[in-house]
Amino acid sequence: MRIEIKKFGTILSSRPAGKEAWLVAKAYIVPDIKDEVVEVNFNGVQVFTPSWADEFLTPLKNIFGDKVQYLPCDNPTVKSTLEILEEQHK
Amino acid sequence: MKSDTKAKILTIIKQNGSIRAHDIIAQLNLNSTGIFRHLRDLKEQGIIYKVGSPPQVRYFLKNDNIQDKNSVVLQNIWRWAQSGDSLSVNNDQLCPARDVFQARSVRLLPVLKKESNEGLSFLLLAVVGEIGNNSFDHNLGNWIDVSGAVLVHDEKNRIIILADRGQGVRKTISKVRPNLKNDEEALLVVFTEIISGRAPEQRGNGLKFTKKVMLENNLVLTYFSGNAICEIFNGKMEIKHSDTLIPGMLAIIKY
Repeated sequence: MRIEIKKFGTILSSRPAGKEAWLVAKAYIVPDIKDEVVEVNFNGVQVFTPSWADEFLTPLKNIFGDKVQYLPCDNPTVKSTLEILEEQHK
Repeated sequence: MKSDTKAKILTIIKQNGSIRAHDIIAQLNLNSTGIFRHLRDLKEQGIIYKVGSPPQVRYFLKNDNIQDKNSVVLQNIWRWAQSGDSLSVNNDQLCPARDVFQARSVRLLPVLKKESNEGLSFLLLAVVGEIGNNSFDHNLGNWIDVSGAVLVHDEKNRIIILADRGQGVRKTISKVRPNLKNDEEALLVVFTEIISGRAPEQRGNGLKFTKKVMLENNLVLTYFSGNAICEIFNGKMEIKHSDTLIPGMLAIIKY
């Protein structure tokens, strides 16, 4: 399945907003089957910060592990945020 | 002749606050190679410095940097960050709650897009979001006197200022790092290590993200907390003692 991050907003920049988005996604979007590949599409997002991302992507990774795949995106805030999160998850 | 051109370049930079090389060349109607050589000389002599990466590089006078507090609005916020003096900031600058801060920070985007490229404006807004939201994440219910964070964009001087009257960096991480000797050590930790004052929550990337964006895009950050200052300037980060005590936080982003 694919998660379209822009559906949560195009400026994603706080922990409370990221946490709220994750709770909604977990209830209605994220599949119950844990071995399903989950693609994350960032196209259309303007501002993506580590705070928001940590509240959303970290729990997603905790459930699906390597099955989470980030689709390529040119946005510099997405790139920098994913690099920082990757460092945290090492 | 060379020094005459240098003097003209310095006058143009002073008149404009900051300027791109392209605009200096257009104003002086001289050979671009020569102008770039003068700019390089002036930079090496420590008279000017540049901010941004191509094609958005701007030149500033060295004695015009944020430490000299040329920006009137910065002087006022500086005073507020030190003392909480309510006359120094107005209601348009102080965001008493996170929702207000979020709404006002989003309004910066179209303005920043006009002044820089789209990618840089997204990065600047991300940094503003990380620094400003830290104020609320770590100080809610624990402000010294005034609740909230100040957010101001000084377009003329190309600076964004954030400040709070919170506990300050050292105190917010003192539970997870009880043995910190001073505010300088505290700043070093938050700008270089993944740590959070809200442990056991896994968080604490915001200021490392800020550092990364500043360094990769040759932007300038001056971040005060307690008696310490973190300066990211010219592709380097330096943390040192500050005689000015800022109990909470004051951050100045120059782009």
